[in-house]
Amino acid sequence: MIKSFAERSWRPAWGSGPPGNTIRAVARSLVRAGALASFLVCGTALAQEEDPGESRAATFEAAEGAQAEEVPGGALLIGAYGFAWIALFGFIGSIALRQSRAWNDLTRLKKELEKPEGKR
Amino acid sequence: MSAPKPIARLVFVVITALLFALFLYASFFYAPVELTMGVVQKIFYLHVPSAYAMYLGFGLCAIGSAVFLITRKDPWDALAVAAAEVGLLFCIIVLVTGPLWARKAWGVYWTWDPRLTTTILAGLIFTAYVVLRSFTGGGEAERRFAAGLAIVGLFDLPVIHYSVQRWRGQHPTVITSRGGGLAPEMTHALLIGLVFVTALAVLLIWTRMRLERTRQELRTLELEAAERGLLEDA
Repeated sequence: MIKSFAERSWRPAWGSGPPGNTIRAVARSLVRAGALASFLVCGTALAQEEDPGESRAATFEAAEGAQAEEVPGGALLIGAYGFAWIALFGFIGSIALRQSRAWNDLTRLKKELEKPEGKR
Repeated sequence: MSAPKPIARLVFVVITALLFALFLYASFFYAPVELTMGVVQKIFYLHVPSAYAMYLGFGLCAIGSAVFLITRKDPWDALAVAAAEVGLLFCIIVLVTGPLWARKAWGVYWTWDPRLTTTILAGLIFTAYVVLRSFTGGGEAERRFAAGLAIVGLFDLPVIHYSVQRWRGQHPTVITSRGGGLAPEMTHALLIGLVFVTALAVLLIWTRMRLERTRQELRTLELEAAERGLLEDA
């Protein structure tokens, strides 16, 4: 009788043959499963060895006394605050300018609409 | 949304100006110099509150846009436009002050860290919103399209916030539950900065919204004038 492809392709190693073969097959399977599990566990552990939180600054501490600096921190600080205030006051100025123009246009248009037909 | 009284605005302006002075004192004189980074760490007191103001602006823009899409009422659209511009202003401040701090702390101005990358993405989305609203007039289709864009942009905000926890990155986490490594004076300066920048953002949105409401009124009158054949003269 001819077996189907599915029946031929999957056959447990310990399901046939003498008892000695079955024990060896089970032991081999257990060793392979153990090796695979160890590999997966070690791989995962190695990948997560460095906690993302550990590689970043997690504390800011106060210094005592004057500290010598290599990169000019003062210039960077002035640059950051200077840029922020220029951007901020520039934005406020731009709003004031646009508001003034809009009010002028609105006033002119209202006056125009309020004029009697003959006076336009 | 009724128009606020001028006196209320004036009081708010005075309070924000006082907070501004207090913020400068707290960040430059009250808070100590950081041990390893030095004075450049003081950028932190402006950078972090600006990031929260950016979230506030972009968040309000998305909320205003969503309510506008449902109700089609002009005040919500005005809120969305105002909040987008203010959010973008603070986003630019974040993206400039951060690299200046990073130059000292990391040795480079820019790195494609998850939080930096998602922040620049949010900035680009809301830049597209502001450009769309600035150069396409006040047509209904453009307003609806821009509202949809703002809602899409909203989804990037939690990604910015949680990116530093979810993905490996260099960005500091000093004020999260895992960090908390701030000296008490530094915490006080940061809190003052948060209150000041939040008040400033609210004031700017309020002021910018008034401008947008004036423009909406102007557009309505222009349509009326056009119907009456007066637009050329006006």
